[in-house]
Amino acid sequence: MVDIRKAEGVVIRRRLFSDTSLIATFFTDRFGKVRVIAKGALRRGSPLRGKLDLFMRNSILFYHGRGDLHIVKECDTIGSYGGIRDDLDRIVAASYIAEIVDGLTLPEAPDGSLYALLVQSLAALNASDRPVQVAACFAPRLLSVLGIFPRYSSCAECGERLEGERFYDGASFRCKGCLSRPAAAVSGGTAALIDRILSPGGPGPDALSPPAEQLSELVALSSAIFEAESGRRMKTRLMAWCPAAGRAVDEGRNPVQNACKPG
Amino acid sequence: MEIYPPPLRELINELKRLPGIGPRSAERIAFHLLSGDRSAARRLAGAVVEAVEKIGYCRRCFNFTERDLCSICSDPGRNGRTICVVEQPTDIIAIEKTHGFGGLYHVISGKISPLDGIESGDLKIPQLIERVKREKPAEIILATSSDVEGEATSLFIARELRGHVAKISRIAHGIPVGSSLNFADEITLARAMEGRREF
Repeated sequence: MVDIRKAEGVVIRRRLFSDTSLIATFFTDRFGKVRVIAKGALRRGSPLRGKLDLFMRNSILFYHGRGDLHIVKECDTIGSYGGIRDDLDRIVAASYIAEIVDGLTLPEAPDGSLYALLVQSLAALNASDRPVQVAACFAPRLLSVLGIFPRYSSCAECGERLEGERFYDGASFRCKGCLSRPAAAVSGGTAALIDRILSPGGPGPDALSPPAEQLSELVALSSAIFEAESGRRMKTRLMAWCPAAGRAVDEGRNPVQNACKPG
Repeated sequence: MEIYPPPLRELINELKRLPGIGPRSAERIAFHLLSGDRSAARRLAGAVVEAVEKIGYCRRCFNFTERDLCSICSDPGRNGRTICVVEQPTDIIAIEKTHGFGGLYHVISGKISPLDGIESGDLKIPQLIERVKREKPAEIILATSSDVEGEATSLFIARELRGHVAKISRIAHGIPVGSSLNFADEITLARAMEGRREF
């Protein structure tokens, strides 16, 4: 008997498989990250056409294919987030979120909290006039739900409580006295910002007004954690794309990220 | 694959790299080329070599051409005041088949994709911006695809060209001719409603 599965999911990556077919990666509520092939999805008249674009939230019916590649049978759009595709900064911000989820999750490892946060972040981006800030603030939450945001209130080596400036060495936060390899300074202001972002019931991203330097440091720190955990380079250069927040500070030259390159 | 002689294995491997050709199709094509009259295979090989050696890019619009300027850029009958921006040379063919556009083109050779790390500098977008500043067209038509990457590309180009050209337009999106509303996705339907025209 064919194992048919039903789930709700967001398209976090897609690529062409042939002229008319594509492979979409969904992050779903029930099965975590799922790759599906949509045969003929790009054909004129295909009921799947237009429903498997990036960031679309769909209800999908799929059955088990070869290995971890499943075959999508039906797809109904629940949320299209049209506001994201109308704005370049929102597209880049949503790409940043999608890359974090795609890069740090294993196939078919369900995580309902992460899915809820992903949907919440896309909904926030869809209407935000500060998409870079929204993405920058959601990134630590995503990393925290994934269980990989390092403890930043005390030194990983000596256990001393960290006040003001602290150092991230690509694995953990340390005090200045315990540094044994190149590490990047993270300001006390950025640490306080992370406190507010991660506190339960804390303010939404749009309610925060961090200075550009803190925002840049936060993005660079999240990217550095992503790169350290996934072992691959973060491709979405959030700050570099967005003129209002980013062109002042090119994250490619940001000391936090540069000091913590993987490998 | 080990059962095949090395040259045949190499041929199959190269065919497999082509878009839309899987391992089975590659084997079938290789066997077809080697069975019976081999003059067809030699003609094919010659055509591939000739195209690779002679076809380059138009220095103005980056369309395929065997000369310095492509046939469209060197046609004095075309309207040089309008430039249509497309992703690939194949898009030019699609638009030319409509006989509805008499302007020039600019091929940007792909689309922006933040998720894949593809940025404007990886495409022919800097050349487009230079060209617009130099030629001062009256209108730029953005004819990139309607997926997220295509929209990102159009939004980026529009942002960069604002102030350098009087009119920047985006091709309309809507319901394909002959198809039913039932099968249209909600973004297409929303765009079709937004872009409706008066009778």
